Amino acid sequence: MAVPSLTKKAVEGFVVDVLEKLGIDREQITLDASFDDLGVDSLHVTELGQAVNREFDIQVHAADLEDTQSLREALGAIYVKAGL
Amino acid sequence: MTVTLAGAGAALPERVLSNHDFVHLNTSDEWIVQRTGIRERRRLAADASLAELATDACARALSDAGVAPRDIRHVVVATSTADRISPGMAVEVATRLGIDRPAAFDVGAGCSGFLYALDHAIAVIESGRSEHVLVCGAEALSRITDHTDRNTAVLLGDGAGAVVVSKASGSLRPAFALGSDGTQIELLYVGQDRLLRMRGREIFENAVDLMAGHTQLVLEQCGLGPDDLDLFVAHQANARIVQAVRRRLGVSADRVFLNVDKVANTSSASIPLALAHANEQRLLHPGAVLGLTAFGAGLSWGAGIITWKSLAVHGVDELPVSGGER
Repeated sequence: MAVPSLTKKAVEGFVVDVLEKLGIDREQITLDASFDDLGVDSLHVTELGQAVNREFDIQVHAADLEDTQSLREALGAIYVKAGL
Repeated sequence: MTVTLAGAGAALPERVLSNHDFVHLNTSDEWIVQRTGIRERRRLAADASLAELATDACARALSDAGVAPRDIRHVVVATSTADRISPGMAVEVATRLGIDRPAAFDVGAGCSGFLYALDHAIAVIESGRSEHVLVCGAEALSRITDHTDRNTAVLLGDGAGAVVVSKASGSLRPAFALGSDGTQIELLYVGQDRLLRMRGREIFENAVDLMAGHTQLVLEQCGLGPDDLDLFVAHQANARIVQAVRRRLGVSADRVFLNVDKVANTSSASIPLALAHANEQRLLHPGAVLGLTAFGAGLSWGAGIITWKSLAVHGVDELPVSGGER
C-alpha cells in the first residue's frame, strides 16, 4: 500500500480519524481540548502513535507521546519524529 | 489427518478479589475498568496447591473431550509459578489424574507458554507418536505479585485451564507461529526477588504489534481471512490490548472472546481458561475455527489457528481408534 504524503495537514486529519475510531467524540476534538476532557488516556495515545507509524511509515514510540496532554502537543511530538 | 482441540476445562480458586479490594493502593474501580477491563480476579490461598487446581482443570478437559486418562501419553503444563521448582508440575498433575507414567514436563515461556505447549502437542500428534495430548496452563501469579505496586497488583490473577489436543480427520491443519526477543527482557520479567516487573506502555505497544502481526501470518498460512475465524481468543492480559489487536486485524467484535473482566491476567492459564469459559457459554461449535494469540515475558509471543472438536463433524469411522468414551 502506498504511503500517503507526509504533511502536517495529512497527519492531523488522520489523527482525528483515529481518535474517532477509538471512540472519542469527533465534535469535541479540537487542537487544544485536553486529553483528560476528551477521555483520551495513555493507551489511546499509544494506539494513536502506532496507527500513525503504520499509515506514514515513521517511528513514533509510546515514550515520545508520553507527556502530551492535548492534540496540539501530540501532533507536535509526531511532527518532530517525522521531520516536519 | 489433522489435529483439533477435543475439549477444555477450567478451574478457579474460590476467593474473589474485586477492584474495591485495591483502593488502599490509591486506585479505583473506574480507573482499573477503563484501562484494563478487569473487574475481579481470583486468588489461590497461600497454602493451597496449584497442582491440585491444574488437576481439576485437566479432569474437566478430559471429561469434556470424552478422553480417558489411560489414552493420554503426554502431559504438558505451561506455568511460571509451580509449587516446586523441580520436578515439573505436569508430573504431579498426571499422577493425580491417574495417568500411568506419561511423558510429562513443564513449559516456561511467560504468558505465551500455553501456545508453546500447544504447538509441542500438535507436533507430537502430527508425528504419529500420540493421538491425545493433555495441555494445561496454570498460574498462581499472586506468588510473584508485588502487592504494593498498583501498576501490576490489580492486573494479575490465579487460575488454571486445560485442553485435550487430539488427532482428527479434517482438512484444516493447525498453523502456529512462535517467537521471542531477548533484547527486551527488561520490559517484563520476574527477577531474583521473585516479583513481576513490567513497563506497561511499551508492553502494550509490542503486544499489539506482535499479536496482530503473527495472527495475520497464521491466517495467511491457512489461506484464511479474519472473517473465517469463528472465535478469536487472545491472551487476556488487558481488554484494551485485545480490542486494539482486534481492530488491527479487522476481526468483528462479536467474534472476540473476553473473560478478563472475571479472571484478570492469568498468564499461561489465560487462553485455556478462555476456551473453557467460551465452551461453557456455548460459543463454540464442532468444527469452529479458532484464532489464538499470546504475548508475554521474553519477550515471547505466538499465534495459532486450530479447530474446535472437528472430530464431531466427521463420521464414526473416522474417529481415532483410542477415542475413550466418545
